[in-house]
Amino acid sequence: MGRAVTPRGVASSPLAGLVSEPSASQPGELSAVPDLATLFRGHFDFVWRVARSLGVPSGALDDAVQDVFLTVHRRLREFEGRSSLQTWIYAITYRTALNYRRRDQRRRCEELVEEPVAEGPGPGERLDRERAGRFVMQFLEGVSADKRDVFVLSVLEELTAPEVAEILGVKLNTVYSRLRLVRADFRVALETLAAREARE
Amino acid sequence: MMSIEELERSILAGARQELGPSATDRMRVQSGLVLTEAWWKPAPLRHGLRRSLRAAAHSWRGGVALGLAIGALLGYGAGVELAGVARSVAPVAAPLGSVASAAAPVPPRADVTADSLAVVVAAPEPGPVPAAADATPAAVSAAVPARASEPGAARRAAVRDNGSTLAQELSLLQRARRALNRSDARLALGIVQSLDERFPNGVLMEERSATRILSLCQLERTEEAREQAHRFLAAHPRSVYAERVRDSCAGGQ
Repeated sequence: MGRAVTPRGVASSPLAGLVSEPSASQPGELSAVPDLATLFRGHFDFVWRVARSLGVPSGALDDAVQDVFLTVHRRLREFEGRSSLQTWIYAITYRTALNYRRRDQRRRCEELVEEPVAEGPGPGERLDRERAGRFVMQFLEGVSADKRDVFVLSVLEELTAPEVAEILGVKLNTVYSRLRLVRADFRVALETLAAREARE
Repeated sequence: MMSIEELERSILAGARQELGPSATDRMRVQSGLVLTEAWWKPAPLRHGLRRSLRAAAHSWRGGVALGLAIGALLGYGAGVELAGVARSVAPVAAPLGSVASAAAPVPPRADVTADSLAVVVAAPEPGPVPAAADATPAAVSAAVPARASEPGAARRAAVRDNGSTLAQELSLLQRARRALNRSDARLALGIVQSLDERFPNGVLMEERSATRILSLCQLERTEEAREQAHRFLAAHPRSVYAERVRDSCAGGQ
């Protein structure tokens, strides 16, 4: 636990480039922590992606992401540095997404579900971003919430299993177990997709 | 034919990009955050370091925030109309058209040199300023009259240049803010004066006025700062910059 996480698009050092100006601290003193604008600049992309992937309804995504940043900002004093700042933000994002999911159990990414993946060009270079995103979102909609959470954090965000366990508040073996199951599900979905497109 | 492993890699890579935010998403969420009180608060400090708190209270993050918000609009949303910009920031900067006289320009002083202003135009600073906002102001503004002078081109040029004018204004304002953060108030004030000359009816007048007041404070030109602050607060008592202005040297007594 506690290894610095490097989410996609985020600086490797937890506070690299994020300490607010002006810095009036003496050596050895951490005088300031990131302000909201700085946090937003450094973490918006992955907070958005994770919240969306974890099933926050599209209509509530803006609110959810804003909630994450306001929560992070409000609780910065509580951040003890036991994990990386990014892991801590992941955890807040996860809990926020969970709340939004509960608020709207009928959640669906309508615009994604309405368009069948099988339509359009086949795999390879023609399988563009949009279709890839649609495929993954459809897959995530079809698995249990537990599996979905592990898939998003482990597979999409490429966090380590201990980090995922920390964020989800579950045992490490639970993460491994869910990961194995959801990876198997994902492979079946991929094989189905490949077979369907091979016929076309 | 792709293997399943290749297909998986391709899909995951595509999905990571696709599920990320668009420029419009970023702009929308940031605009929402800019309207919150938290955005304008100095960063919370650890261990009660009051000295740092005081420094932070007088820092100029407000300008950073709005500058970033507007910069996001300009830099990421190529298709965003100026009216869209105004709408998005209206609760913060409104009324955009009526603020020009809120704080009268401060007469130039000898300590603001031509050299310092030359630096503004000639040396773009690195930083998180979107590309559109980093366009060299001199080059862009020099091109405007040339285009406008062509027969029949004036109106089209005016419409086309709305965005670039705002970008120039924003770019200069961000530089003023950065100068202020570096405690280079002379340069900051010089940039503000340059803005007065080049954009007398600019869009970001509240931000400009607040920058002017904080610059004057940093230069210990307190009386001038108070005079400016008095006008500013009378015109914009509910401005997001009002608290910062009141907390400055201009707000005392």
